[in-house]
Amino acid sequence: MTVLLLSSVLAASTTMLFVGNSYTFGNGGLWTITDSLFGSVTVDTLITLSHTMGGATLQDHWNDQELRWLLENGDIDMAIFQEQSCMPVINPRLTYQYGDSLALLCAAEGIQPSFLMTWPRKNDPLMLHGLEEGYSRMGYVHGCPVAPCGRAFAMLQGVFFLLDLYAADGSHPSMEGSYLAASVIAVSVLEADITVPGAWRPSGMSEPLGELIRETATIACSLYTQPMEGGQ
Amino acid sequence: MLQLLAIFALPVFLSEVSGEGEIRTIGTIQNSNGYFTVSNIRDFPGAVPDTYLSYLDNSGESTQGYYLGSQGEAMQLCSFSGKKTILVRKPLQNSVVVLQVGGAESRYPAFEDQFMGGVSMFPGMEHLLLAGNDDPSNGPVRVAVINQDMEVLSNQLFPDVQMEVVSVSLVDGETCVLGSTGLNGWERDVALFFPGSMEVLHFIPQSGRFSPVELLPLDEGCIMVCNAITGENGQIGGLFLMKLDGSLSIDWTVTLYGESWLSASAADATGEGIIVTGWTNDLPMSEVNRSDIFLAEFSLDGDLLWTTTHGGGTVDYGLDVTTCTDGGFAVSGCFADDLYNGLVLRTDSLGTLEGMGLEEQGTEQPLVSVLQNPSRCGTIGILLPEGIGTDVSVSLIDMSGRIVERTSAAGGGTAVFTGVPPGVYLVQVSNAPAMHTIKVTVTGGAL
Repeated sequence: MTVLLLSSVLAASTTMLFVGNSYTFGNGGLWTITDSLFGSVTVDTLITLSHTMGGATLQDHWNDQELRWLLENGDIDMAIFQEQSCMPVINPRLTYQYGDSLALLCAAEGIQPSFLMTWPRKNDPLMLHGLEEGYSRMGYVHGCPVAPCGRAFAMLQGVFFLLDLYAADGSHPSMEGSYLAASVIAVSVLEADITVPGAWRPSGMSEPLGELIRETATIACSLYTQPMEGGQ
Repeated sequence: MLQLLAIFALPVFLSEVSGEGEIRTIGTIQNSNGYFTVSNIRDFPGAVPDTYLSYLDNSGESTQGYYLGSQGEAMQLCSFSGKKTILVRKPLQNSVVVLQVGGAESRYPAFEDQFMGGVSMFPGMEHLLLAGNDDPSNGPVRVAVINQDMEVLSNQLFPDVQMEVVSVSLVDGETCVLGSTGLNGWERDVALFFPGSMEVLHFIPQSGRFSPVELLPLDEGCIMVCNAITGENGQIGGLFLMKLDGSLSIDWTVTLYGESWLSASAADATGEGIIVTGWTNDLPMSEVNRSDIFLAEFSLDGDLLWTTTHGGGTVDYGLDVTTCTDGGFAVSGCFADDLYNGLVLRTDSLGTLEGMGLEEQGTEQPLVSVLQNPSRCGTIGILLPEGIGTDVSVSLIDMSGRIVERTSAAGGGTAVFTGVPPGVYLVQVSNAPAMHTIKVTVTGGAL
């Protein structure tokens, strides 16, 4: 099922498209969380769109004519792509092939592409190796930002292991996990300072926890050297 | 309750280290009674682990095990000055400690606020070398030297030498630190630092991202084991070995790729070659079965002798490998159930669990035998027993199933293949209806 959502519209603002699957649309959508957080820490405005489908790979998205139309006609400034959670590890050739195709289409349309490095399964932290190498290659080849969400998950779990960033299936993000991912996107792709006082956090989340998550996201981004610095 | 389960009989086995929490077995060394293993056990993923030490007998049965009782992550295990020596990172104390197990009078040097960005150790004859980074974001190199009384003889930070340290060793008698430096946001080189001369060497074999893993000293020069992502395999990472000669010039390089990631995690010198372990995400994997342990042996000339993989229906990782006295290997690692369980895989000299590299599939006696296995110089000699006929077919088959050469010989005689390239072969001896198959390794053979 395809979900197309326009969460806010303001003139003279950046329009960002989120493309992914349930990792992206869970907990109300990363685009909604990113929008709320970004709007609370900057005077700039962000228009967020989403194009998601359960279990979708980048190959599925490339073959989706609706997404093609959106990229070509949606007046979009930025797009962030999330690959199916295992593909960069078990079949990086397909991730590269269709990630490259989507990034090149973006470039042709004047859209800044970026990639969302997903997180390893809860019971398989070593999976991060393949995820990080695969997504970093995408950023390097296309000279574009990578949101190192996988790194941030590993880092936060290392300092506060009682906080569960995962849903019960050990794969999808909990609300805290989605907030962390959105925080990483805000820092790495939108270059926002989310450590300022008064930054938005999901309802029900304590201020200290929200602060810890945002600080971890910021540190994770600072420790991750953006591969686009070596772009070809 | 922690338990170890031995599945296979002597001398090869698979021992599982299972219990509550996440368990990764990070090192195994062989001793006179069997094996000593070190595992990290976490109550929850991400938690600071406790170190679990266990002893296995020669069949992989657990004979003793206990917790170290100090919250910290065991990073490496080695034998130094005849004692089991463990490098432990203690994040809560912001320190790194070198522990020796056994011996009543050992001291345990601690490095507070040092080596927190990563550390490696190397046991020399007289000194234990440590090298690493204080800062998690790489930065300056720190090198420490410990004597056999576990006294810190020197501990020096080199502020002008910036590299991500992964290993330390002695190359031609000099302390040598292996690491890498970033060339830009993605590409990385292979770097060597010699603290004695303050010399730093950078190797950029080709454009790409090099992640060194291990530095193995040789009588002259050294071999560096790396992971590499280059354009050669569509930017899908594989194994990269680089041999430096005595003057530290590149002698040879060799790469090994798969359809998906091939990731080295550790290597060891076998005396006649190099054994490498890690994991492969090669196809056909699935969302559940994402990785298998791999083992690969290379000759000192860089020839790939054989590769094997081991794994079940979930994820399996090889994290360390050590060569055993009989030429087999002990692989430490983990596999995923609900969480990781630790494992020790004791293989034969061909990386299999079949027993000493011999695979006998005959239906009738007598057995045939290989005159020398592994075979040297590209020559394989097969001794045929008496009484199996006067026209026995002997075939040399490569691992893809292709018959490389076929000959015939009489019982009591010898069949010889010469000029055989390095690799692993099956020799099939047939005097229908009986058939015998023997696995043979050729090292240093013809190219």
